Amino acid sequence: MKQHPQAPARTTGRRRLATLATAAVVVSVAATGCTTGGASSGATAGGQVSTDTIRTVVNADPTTFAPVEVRNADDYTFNRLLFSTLVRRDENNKIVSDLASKWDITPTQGTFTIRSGATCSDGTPITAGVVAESLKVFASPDSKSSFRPLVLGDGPATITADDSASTVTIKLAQPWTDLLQGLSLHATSIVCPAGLKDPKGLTTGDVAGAFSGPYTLTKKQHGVGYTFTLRSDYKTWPAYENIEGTPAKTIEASVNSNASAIANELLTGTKDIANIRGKDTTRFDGNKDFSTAVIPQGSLYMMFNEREGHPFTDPALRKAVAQALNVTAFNQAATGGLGELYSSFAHPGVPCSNKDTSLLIKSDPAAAQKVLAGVKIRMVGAQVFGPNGAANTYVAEALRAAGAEIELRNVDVATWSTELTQKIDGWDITVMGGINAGGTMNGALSTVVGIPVEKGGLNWGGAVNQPVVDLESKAMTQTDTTERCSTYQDAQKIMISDAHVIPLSSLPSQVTVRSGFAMHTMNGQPDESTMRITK
Amino acid sequence: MTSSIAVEASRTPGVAAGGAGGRFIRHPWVGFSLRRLGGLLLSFVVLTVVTFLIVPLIPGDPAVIAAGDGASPAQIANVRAELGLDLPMLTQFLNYVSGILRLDMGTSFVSGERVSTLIFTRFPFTAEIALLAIVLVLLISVPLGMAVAILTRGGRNKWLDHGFNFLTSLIYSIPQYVVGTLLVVVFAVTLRWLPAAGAATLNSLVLPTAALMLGPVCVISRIVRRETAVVLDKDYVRTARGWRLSALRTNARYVLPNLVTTTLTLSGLILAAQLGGAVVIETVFAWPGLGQGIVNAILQRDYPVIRGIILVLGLLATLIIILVDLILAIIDPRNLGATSNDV
Amino acid sequence: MMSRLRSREFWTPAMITGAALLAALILIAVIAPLTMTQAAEQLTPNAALGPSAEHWLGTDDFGRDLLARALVATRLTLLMTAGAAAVSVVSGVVIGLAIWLSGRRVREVALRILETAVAYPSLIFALVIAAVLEPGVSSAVIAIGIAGIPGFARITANLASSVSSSEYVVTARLLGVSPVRIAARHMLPNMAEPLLILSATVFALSLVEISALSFIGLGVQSPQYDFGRLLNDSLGALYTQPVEAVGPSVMIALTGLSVMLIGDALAAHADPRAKRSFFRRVLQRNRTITVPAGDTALVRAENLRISIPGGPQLVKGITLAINPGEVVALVGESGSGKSLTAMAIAGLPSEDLAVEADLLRVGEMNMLAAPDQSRLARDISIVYQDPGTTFNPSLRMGSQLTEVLRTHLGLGGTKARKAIIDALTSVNITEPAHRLRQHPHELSGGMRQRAMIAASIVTSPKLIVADEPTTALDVTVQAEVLRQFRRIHREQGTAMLFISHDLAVVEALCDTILVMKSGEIVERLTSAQLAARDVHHPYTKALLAAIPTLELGPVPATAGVATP
Repeated sequence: MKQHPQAPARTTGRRRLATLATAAVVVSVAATGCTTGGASSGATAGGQVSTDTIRTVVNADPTTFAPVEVRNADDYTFNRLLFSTLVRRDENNKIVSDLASKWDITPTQGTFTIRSGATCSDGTPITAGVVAESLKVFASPDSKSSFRPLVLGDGPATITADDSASTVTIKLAQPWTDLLQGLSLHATSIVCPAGLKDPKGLTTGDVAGAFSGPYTLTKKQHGVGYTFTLRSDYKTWPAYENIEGTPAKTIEASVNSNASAIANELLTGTKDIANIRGKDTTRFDGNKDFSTAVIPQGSLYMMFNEREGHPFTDPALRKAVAQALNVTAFNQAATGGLGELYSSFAHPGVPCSNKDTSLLIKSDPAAAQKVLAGVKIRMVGAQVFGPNGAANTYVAEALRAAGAEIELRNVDVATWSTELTQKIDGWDITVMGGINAGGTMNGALSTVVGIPVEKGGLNWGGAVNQPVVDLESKAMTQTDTTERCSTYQDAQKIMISDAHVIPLSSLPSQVTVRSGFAMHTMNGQPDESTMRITK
Repeated sequence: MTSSIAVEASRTPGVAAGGAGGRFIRHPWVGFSLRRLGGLLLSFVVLTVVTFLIVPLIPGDPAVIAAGDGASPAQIANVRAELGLDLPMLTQFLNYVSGILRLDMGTSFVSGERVSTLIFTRFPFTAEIALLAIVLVLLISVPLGMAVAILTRGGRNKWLDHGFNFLTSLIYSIPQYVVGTLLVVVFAVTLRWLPAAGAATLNSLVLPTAALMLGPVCVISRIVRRETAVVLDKDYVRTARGWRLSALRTNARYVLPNLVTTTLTLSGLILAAQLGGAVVIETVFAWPGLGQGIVNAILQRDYPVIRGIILVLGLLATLIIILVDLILAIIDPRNLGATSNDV
Repeated sequence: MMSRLRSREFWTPAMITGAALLAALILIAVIAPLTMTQAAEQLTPNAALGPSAEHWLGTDDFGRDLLARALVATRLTLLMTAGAAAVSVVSGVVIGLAIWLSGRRVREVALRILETAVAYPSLIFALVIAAVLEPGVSSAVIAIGIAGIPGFARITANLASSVSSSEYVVTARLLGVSPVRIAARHMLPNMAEPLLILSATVFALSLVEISALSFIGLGVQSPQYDFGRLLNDSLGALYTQPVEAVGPSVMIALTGLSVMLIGDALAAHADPRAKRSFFRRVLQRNRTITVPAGDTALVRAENLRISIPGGPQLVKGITLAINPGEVVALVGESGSGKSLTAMAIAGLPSEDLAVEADLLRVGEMNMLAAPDQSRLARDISIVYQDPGTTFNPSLRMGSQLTEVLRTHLGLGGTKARKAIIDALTSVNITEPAHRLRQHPHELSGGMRQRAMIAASIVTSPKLIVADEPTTALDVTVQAEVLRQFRRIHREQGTAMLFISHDLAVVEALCDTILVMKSGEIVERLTSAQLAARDVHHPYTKALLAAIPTLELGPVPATAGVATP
């Protein structure tokens, strides 16, 4: 997964990693003097109406309620409330049970035993057959989901159900060791039969019986807010450990894209849990009434147009760009210094992501100047990276300082993604914000290697980079984690040392939770179904 | 707010009231209705054509956005076909027009919701704040403008004259979002008297309305003041003075009613402007109005929603003008011949 | 223009403040980019610093000096705003004139469309245009410029319509001068002043709207920066580092302020009202005067002087008396001071004039003090010139005509109506009850003037002051109105002070005729002397010579101009 949509999105990773350890926490406040359990504490001045409701915020209206169509963060938020998946990935990066109680995985096949007692929001039992029908929609060759190749690989997948044994079997055409993790993704959520019958209604969230998760959508006011109600018959919670507190009977999510306004609402007690970005996050520093966890929305890196005839097919030129940039200054400009410096284009939560900073090309403006002086560079940047495209502005100014004649166009995401994929001769470099919602190295690489977009692929950079593609295929056959990571390390070494990409920093956001409430983030990705009232 | 300038302008000294003077139609109400109906129809046709043509000119492919992150070119092509964007322009236009004739503005490219649903969810919020603001603006700026005009008539109280000009100019020049943010900092974040954002309670109306009002209060009180100065010089005010009526009676009966035309016309224009033009305030206060709706739709290249909102705002603007003219014509039948902008 | 710039009147406090501010801003716009670009644009490691001696407003996340950025941005902001304003003004004027010059049908349609466009939220308009053109400097200028066109076109069309009815435009048309030439040669110069004033307003508006566009993200894009962009950049840190917003906010406010002040000052300069200087007249404290026994006069003015404070004397010490039941005429050409005199006697002198006299009384009321209002209203009635605007257009006749009866005589609504119906009948107004329900514009000029007379007699006043009551009426109506005055005098014996510039009018009505010239009474005549043409002063003779000519009275310059 790659480009950055309007609204923030989050990342998944598979493995707990040292750098991310602090992010993988239970965001709850238990010991701030507010543990009396009383409904009224100082922290909730002016806002807390009842204790069975959680008030949260989404940045934008969801674009869809249909799992196979999810594409941005707010889609994910609501997806977790409304739907169940076969498995989940917990904060220790362990795969835990959701609808599947057991699984048996080989590189080309997965067999899942469906737990008993799970029901749809209309009461229909969730059987192996129900699960298989839902997964078939996701897996079909003309699937609407851009996650399909990440979960199942490019080849066909065969899905069969055995209702007597309560098992669902997924057979793959090629070895694909990302399958199990893939089935924890939002896009693979199980849609109940009522929803499959009415795809349009499913998209707009209007099929009351479509949901397999803990909540149902009870009120929908586009642009205003959404209300979710806990299903009284829902008992089959994901098998996460250490989830304390009671689920809210009602979750009210209002729509607000203004980070300052969201922070104000949290601080003045009219909201309980929200994800905020930018400098407003620092307003909660040292505030005992809130607990916070910084999560990466995406990883920022430079990428180049490496199609034949473009200047940046020359590695010397790409390396000079890397030398011209100061990553710390970039981070200050793009994130106000709140981001984390990255050593790979895949964020640290992605399994096998490179941690070796020695691979990175050192900043050396003097050297850069020798190569870049007088070079004409056309840069197209998306405004969403940094406030008003500050990430792009920084890069342009740094290259200008290095003597390049740079022409920067800061445009909105729609124009940016259209220009980069359809006017492939109109740009030389760009700052990419990799979201990689699938959380796999394969997902991170797909933007910069493999079949170019103009030939039907996903690669925006335009150079196939066969050596890296070969390493990728090799990794997909490797079940041993260490071996796989060694292969991926080789691939990253090529990408970074040859400056096909220049890793920069994370694009951070902060999950902010009022005392008395809790929500868990799993390796950098919040799971909204774990929102709890803890007081 | 360009609109307010039109009226302010026509009041500038030396700018006489022009207009359709001298044009005769046998029965005033017939001519009035015909012209209004014609105007409405014309605006509607122009708006329909213009919105259809202008929206696709926005760079950026809606199919790319609608297909989502990391969609393959094949998936994007499917989406394009699904949205009907691969059809020839003429076909698209005919579909659009026939949809509108059936009162169907289509469905959103992004969420699949009906455009009419999306608009009508947001509209009450927009209308609420716009109406409240305009009522309060009138309640404040008419007495204020009149008072200043009366107190400064004939060169009295020069300091008030300069002070009023200075303050209203200054306040008007402070960007709306700075004003809005200051209000939030003081009344929501520091004093905690009022909600900081959102539209959850009745209290939520207070701050955005206040922020929205400030500019128009300055503009309208200036206009009322200038207008009052003109009226104070009229012969009928002299007549009232000759009848030795008290200042209160003179101002209430001989000055105020003669400001109605200008103020109502202006209010109509400002109301129309605020229905969509309150984008800034909506953003600061996370107020779910139409302004935010169209900004989001533009960013997402959601053609049907952009077109729908533009069209609805245009119709509302026209309707408000007609309504104001209607009220004015009822109050004073001489207005039947003129249009509100001839004030 | 130069002479105007030198005149002291032009340099009001508003103009001085506005012009000084704008000059300073222009100076900054010229100098700052030359000297401060480095501090404003070069990346340094000193990112996100608070205010210090070195960086007065601190630095941004790029380590750039925020004060320098705010100052350097002045140039782009002023240029963009001026550009947008120019687009609105020039296109608006061209379209407005074109609409006015085109045929009736085209004009109707164009005005209709313009009407909707004017009402359309211009920011929405602008943001769609900006999105189409791809956000940036030029698209912001074009978008805001275009959004401002309908308003300005509308104004120009209105202005053009009023200017085009002026005499020389009409003449030029009749002479077959081409419309474009008329527009360029005659109409534009005459519209220049109001258009200039409006341009200032358009400028201020463009400034606000361009910065709003930047706020939404559809304005100037980095690396370029205007005030709006800087303010937008500071928004993310508005709560954490609010000082970032100070520079651009202050600069926007000052720019807007300077231009609006200049606009105000220009408007004030063009408006005669604004030039009046207020003069607080010293009133005598004794509201009544003991009339000496043997002084039977109803009105007595001795050595009445009226002057512009600190300026010339307009009435130069005149003395006159009006006996009860006497009809006195004050005759003279305009500017002779006759109306000033009459209004001073009626107790309604213009507010910016100084009125002095050795004695000025009506009955025992001291008109140099502030006599009791009710008594004034009862004892003195005033009939004005120009019946077109003497009545409040928004009230019905009935409620206006009964004002004095209800406020000062304490009559109830029904009684007052009955009294006024009688009075209306007495001045030959048909269907009086119906007339009371009508608005002034539904009555003819003569009818309104007779209604005015009816209102003036209904209180049985001691004195009627009639200021050119027949001037605006056509001849036959004049005769009828005069007949009414004669009848009132005959039936009620009310004293009158009758002002006219026309000897013929007063000849038949008045007992005493006072001829005024340049603020002095040059001749006193009885009606008999006048009838016998027994006059001595050359000025009076000249006035008499004009009698045979039919006096049509000035025709309103623009017939059909709407009254408010």
